[in-house]
Amino acid sequence: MRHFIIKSLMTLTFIVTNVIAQDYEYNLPIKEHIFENGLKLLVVERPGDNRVAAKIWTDMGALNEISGEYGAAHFLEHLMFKGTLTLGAKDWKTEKPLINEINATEKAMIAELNRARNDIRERGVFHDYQHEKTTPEITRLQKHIDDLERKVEELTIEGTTMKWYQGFGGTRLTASTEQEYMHFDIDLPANRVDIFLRIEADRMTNTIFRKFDAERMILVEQRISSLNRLNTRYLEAMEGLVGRTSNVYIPEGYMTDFKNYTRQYERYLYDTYFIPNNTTLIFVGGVTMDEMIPKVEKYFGGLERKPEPTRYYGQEPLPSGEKRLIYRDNKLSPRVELRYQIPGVGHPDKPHFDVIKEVMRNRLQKNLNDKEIGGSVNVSTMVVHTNNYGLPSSIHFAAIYEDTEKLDASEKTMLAEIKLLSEKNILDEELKFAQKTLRTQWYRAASDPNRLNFHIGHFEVMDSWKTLKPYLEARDKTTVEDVRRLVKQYFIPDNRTIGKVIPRGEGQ
Amino acid sequence: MKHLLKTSCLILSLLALSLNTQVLAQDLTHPRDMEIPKSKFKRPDPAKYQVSLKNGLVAYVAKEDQVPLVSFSAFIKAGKIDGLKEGAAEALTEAFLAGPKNISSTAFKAALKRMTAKYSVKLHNKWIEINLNVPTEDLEEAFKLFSATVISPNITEANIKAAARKATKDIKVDKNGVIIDGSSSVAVSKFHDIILKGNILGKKLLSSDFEDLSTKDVESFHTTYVVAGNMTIAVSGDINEKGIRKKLKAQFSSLINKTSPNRRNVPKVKRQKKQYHYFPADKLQTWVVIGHPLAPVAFKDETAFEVMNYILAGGHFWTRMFIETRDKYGLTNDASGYIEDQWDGSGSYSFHSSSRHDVTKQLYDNIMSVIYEIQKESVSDEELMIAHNALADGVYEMKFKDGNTTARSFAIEKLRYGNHKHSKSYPVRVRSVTKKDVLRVANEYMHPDAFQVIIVGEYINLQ
Repeated sequence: MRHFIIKSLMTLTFIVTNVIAQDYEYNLPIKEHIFENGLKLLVVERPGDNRVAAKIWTDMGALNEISGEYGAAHFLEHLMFKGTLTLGAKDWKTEKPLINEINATEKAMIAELNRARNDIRERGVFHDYQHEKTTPEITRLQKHIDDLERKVEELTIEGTTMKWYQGFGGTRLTASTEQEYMHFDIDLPANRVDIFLRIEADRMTNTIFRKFDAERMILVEQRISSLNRLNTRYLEAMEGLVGRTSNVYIPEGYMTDFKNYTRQYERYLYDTYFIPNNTTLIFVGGVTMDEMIPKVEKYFGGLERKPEPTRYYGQEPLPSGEKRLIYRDNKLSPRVELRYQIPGVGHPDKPHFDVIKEVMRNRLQKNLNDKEIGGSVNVSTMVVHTNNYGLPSSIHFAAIYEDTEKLDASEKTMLAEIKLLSEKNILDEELKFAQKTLRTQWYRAASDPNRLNFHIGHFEVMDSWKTLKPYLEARDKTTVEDVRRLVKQYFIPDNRTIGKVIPRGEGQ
Repeated sequence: MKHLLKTSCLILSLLALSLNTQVLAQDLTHPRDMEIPKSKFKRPDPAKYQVSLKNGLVAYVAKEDQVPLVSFSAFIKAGKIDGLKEGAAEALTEAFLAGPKNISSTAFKAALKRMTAKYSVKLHNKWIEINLNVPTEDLEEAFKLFSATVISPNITEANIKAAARKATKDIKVDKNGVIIDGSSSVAVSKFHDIILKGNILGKKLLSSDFEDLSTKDVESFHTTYVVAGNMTIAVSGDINEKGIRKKLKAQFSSLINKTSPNRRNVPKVKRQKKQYHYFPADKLQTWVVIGHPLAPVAFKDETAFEVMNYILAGGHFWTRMFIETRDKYGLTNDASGYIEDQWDGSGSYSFHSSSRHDVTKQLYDNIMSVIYEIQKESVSDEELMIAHNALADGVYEMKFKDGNTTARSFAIEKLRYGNHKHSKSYPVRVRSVTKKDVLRVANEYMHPDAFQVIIVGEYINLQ
């Protein structure tokens, strides 16, 4: 009996040692606290750090937008920099009735836009035909809004939120909105975290939509800046072909969307999603959970839990046929690209696709070079701006060339290489190298509190922060069998989209 | 008794209910009135990190074990402007990229790949930096490769050819002279070409420079500048500090014991009369760069100039320029100021922005108006306070936020200034800047009449 106990203890010690060793690799001591109003607080304590990376995450984004209002979530992020009742207002009492009048005028304008729809709707493929450009009533109402906005401007102090962050040593001030999230970020001296809580609690409850039309133009600037990149239109065309229903595949607003944004729709998004039970506060750095709970309670405790917001239910239909895009452009380098839809984070297969991505990145380049087809290989899971989603997105294998001569041979070779993954075993060392690459990438991200905070928050909105560590561990356990199974299951013609970029004039 | 119990229960229930439903009032104390404590930050003591070798090499070693990674950096006081032969610095940069003498460039690249290393060599005007980051498990191999590369790089003809290809790369234009892929970096590059024309800082290398260059010239450049007293090293990450100190001594003791060699004399970059330079590009936006060469900023004025720039256009959300172009009018996504420091000499000061074509003129006017304004009137107390705190508690602290940044910051500071007085006195110097100082430096160092205005995009008359 005694012998058995000792043996058991030894086994237990061995297991515990192993577990500790594994824990060190993905050291994620995340602490969670959920407040009564549903607000979630996550803290990674890093004793000794003088600063803290703070982010407030809202579970909403482009997925929650409707057609014709694409980019509205991103626009809301911009509006949320425009101040609140107490920040940015010189005289709220005077400003308030003006804001109310703007909203009422806009309501009347929306009614007029709806009434006159058949007169003003754009009917042309090339955006070249409306019966009428506008109506006298719309013009009158818009002028009234412009006049009111000018009066509000006189009562506004610009940039006031950021000013106070900067004034208390804040750096890396930014915000970001993608399909599944919006977050506001700051890096502060750890003992000044109150300023973050004060400003963000105010921002999520009391934002005033000031300078609406001027800010709309910033989105136009950002969009044209994106369109200036030679490959933007091609990538958007590919993304639009891969997916059919999901906003994952849609950029953050087309030029035709920006003019449609209304205060009313932005207010709907704001009121629906910016509620404590849809919010996660994450801190990585020199703070502790014990000190953060009362602080967060002080600033956010008074916010009421609201009804669970409407979620996105869209689901891509089953893949049912190979698709092909021919994109003609004289400035963009010729290329051939294969895309396949893959599952989202939360699906047990997803971590293995990260490994496949790394294996293929090395294999494709080597084998295209060996066959003297060459090209610059790019393997990625980036869709719009994001690598990971909580719902299906896609993986891409692309080879870029100086001219079109090798495109056909490249396509054939890439297809053959993908097939080979399911037929011949990939080498164990290939797999190990891919896994090491992923681990190093993770360590680089986790070494920076700001990036670590991002990954925790991103997993929280995609699935749960609790699945981040198992996700990383699953990649280390990917086997040759996993790769073969997934290639057979996912890399099939019906789930494939092929893109080719050729110069204008060719193949026409 | 039963009745009392019932009543007590009722009271308790009501109390519990009221506590449950009680909603705390939101604390909306204005940030100005909040009792925010002073930052606890104290610059680390450089002596704790410093290792000095007998040959004069100074290194900084810092433990940072949040993740199993190690970083190695070498900073060398030699840049584009140095050397007797044009192109030698560029070719040495390529040699550093190719690895050490004792292995082939292919084997070096394969080793980096196997280690999943991140490796870069950056050539600046007056210095070179070499950075290597690897998982801790590869520390031994990486350290050897790193030191061998710095001490004995594989200098070959191939390095010279690679350097020639990169250095003589031009901005592509079509047959009508229109820039094919216009961008902010194209505009900045044109700006540098114009303000540095005729000065060694703006030298344009030609293929013939590289034809005249031999591997001996590159070796001579290496022997002259990569010496113990002319460089610093930083090692940080998941390390055993004692072990690294030993390794540093073992692997870098063979460096020649020499102090900084004489450097090429860089003539002061002359300011020119204000001019507009237009470069057509077929894009949806126009990029504008406005600026001039920056005379060496006196040490006493350094922080005042930083404060002035922070308030005017310091590359963040709350600046006068950002507010007057983006926040109020939606003219651009960004309009910011850049101080380009050239170490011990002239640099440049410029403002970069972009806009849709139809508002470029308004954008330009608004940028100019805030520039004139800061030269005319004192900044406010609030602006000054924000800039003091942002620089002293924000930007400065970030340089020492962890072991990696600390080792790096100290190594660069030592190379540039020879000691650590600069960083020690920085917070005090920033906080002592007055409104008067800001007004003075805005006029002393910024000269709108000498601005070179670069427009890349659609032609627009900005005059």
